[in-house]
Amino acid sequence: MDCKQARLHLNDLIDDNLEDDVRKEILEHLKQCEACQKEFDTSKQIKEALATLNPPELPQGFHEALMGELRRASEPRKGFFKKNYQWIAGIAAVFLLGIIITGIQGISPLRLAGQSNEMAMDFAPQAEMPEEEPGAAAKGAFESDMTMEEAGYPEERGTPEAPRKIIRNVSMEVETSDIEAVYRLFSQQVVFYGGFVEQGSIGDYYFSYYEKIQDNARMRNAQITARIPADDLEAMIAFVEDHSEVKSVNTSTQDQTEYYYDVDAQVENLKVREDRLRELMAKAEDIDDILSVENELYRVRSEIDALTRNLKNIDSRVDLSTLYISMREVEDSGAIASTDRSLSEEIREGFIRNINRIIRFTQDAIVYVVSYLPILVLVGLTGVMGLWILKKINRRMRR
Amino acid sequence: MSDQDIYLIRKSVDGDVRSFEKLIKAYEQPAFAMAMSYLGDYEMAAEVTQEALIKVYKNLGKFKFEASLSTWIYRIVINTCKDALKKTKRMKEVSLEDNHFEGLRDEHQTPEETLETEDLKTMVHRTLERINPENAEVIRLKDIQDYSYEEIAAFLEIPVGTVRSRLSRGRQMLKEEIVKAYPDALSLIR
Ligand SMILES: [Zn+2]
Repeated sequence: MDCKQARLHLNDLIDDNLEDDVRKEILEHLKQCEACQKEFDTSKQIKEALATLNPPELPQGFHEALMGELRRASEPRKGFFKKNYQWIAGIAAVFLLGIIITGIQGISPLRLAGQSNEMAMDFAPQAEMPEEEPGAAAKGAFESDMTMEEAGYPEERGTPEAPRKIIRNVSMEVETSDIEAVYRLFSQQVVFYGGFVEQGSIGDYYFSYYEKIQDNARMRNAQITARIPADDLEAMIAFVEDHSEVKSVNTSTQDQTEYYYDVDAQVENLKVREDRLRELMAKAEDIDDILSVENELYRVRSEIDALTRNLKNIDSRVDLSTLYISMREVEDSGAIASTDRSLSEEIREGFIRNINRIIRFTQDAIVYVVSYLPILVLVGLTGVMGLWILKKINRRMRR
Repeated sequence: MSDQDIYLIRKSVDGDVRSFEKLIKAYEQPAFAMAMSYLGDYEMAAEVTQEALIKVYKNLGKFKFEASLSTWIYRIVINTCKDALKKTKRMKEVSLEDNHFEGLRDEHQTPEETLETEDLKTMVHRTLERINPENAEVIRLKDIQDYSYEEIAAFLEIPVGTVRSRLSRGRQMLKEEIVKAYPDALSLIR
């Protein structure tokens, strides 16, 4: 390797960007060539001197000062001008919408009917959270003929030692601009808290508001029914609030303490009765007696099982709160609007939107005209025929 | 980019300062270091970094996920630094005392060490200001900030080959300038 080549690779040698064999060759050359070695040393020293220019830590309080500035910077956006601006834009949009709706309505009533159906879909109430009443069914099923005295009703129910049985259900309606990611994020978070997703679905395209019908944009919704350890419910709700736009939160609390210990006592009673029946069974000799005791034993066992299932169900619902999240996908527009979008951008987008509306309107008009064309042609032909006949009659009359 | 980052971005765009705080935290120090290498003045660098990060916050809605978030942020920091330099250029030319490195003094050094390193730093940095700014910029990002050729190419939106050639030319110029301005510099360095 000669000096020219060596100098060419000098930078890469300093930055340690060279293949092993090339580097070896250069180092070999540097050993023999004092000039190149000197050049290399100087460059390296300069680089090292530059490296020492790398400044130390962030200035003290930099982060806090920045956050303070950011808070100040984000406030005016929600302030007077922005609000007013949105008001004006809103009123203008409503006006425009009104004009367009009337325009379309005048021409094509069929189309509008279709649209209002779609809009109605949009406002259809979200599926209510299934809220079965565990008490009703169980209480009906269990009509014990046993009296309290028979079994020594447990005294400890409702005492401070017995944990209260409170079931919490929360239903949230949220909006997001990225439904798939939010759906995934929430599901992951549920698992993170040691809960599980009981039911989840994503899809069900629905049409958003009027403009979107026109632009044919399809937005989706999703639902998650999650079971979360009661202690983490609040944290999960906060997490949902942090990652989506919450539209409504509905909390329902059911205190099942009394019912729970009631059933618990009944189970104890039945178990006592079961033991007694077993004793009877052992003593019984008559075949009829055996059969009737066996029947009764079977009935008691079934009741115990049913009630125990009930208690387990309550326990699970107490330990794991139910969180139902209904998600709707919305356009990102809200998010964009909250940043400092320039007036020209807003105007440009509005302009494009309205051009689209005009195009749609024109298309509607053409569709209307074309669809009525057969009738128009018929009417026209009849008219022409009529005129022709009239003219003929006129001519004959004149003659 | 992680889901978490995307969410923090979306929340920040919605005006949630807390999410932005989480998002930006990791970039504060490197952004400041970058501003420092462009501006050389501690207080000015802090000021410009803050300005740049506020710009990041306000413009996050325009972030299109085309580049990585870090690249996008550093581009804004770099451009803010360049604007600041333009603004102060006239003032700088008038000022007689060039005390850019006041803030850089490492307090843990002995006086002799300080003197020597200070000389080196001052010398190299002053010379850096005299060479072609495009080349100097690449030297700052590579030799002061230690970013890779690829990263620098992304920050400045230029090809990697251009980074390489600017660096090579810049280093050569820097070397020549140092020799010219400080005739006994090489012996001092050695
Ligand atoms: Zn040589």
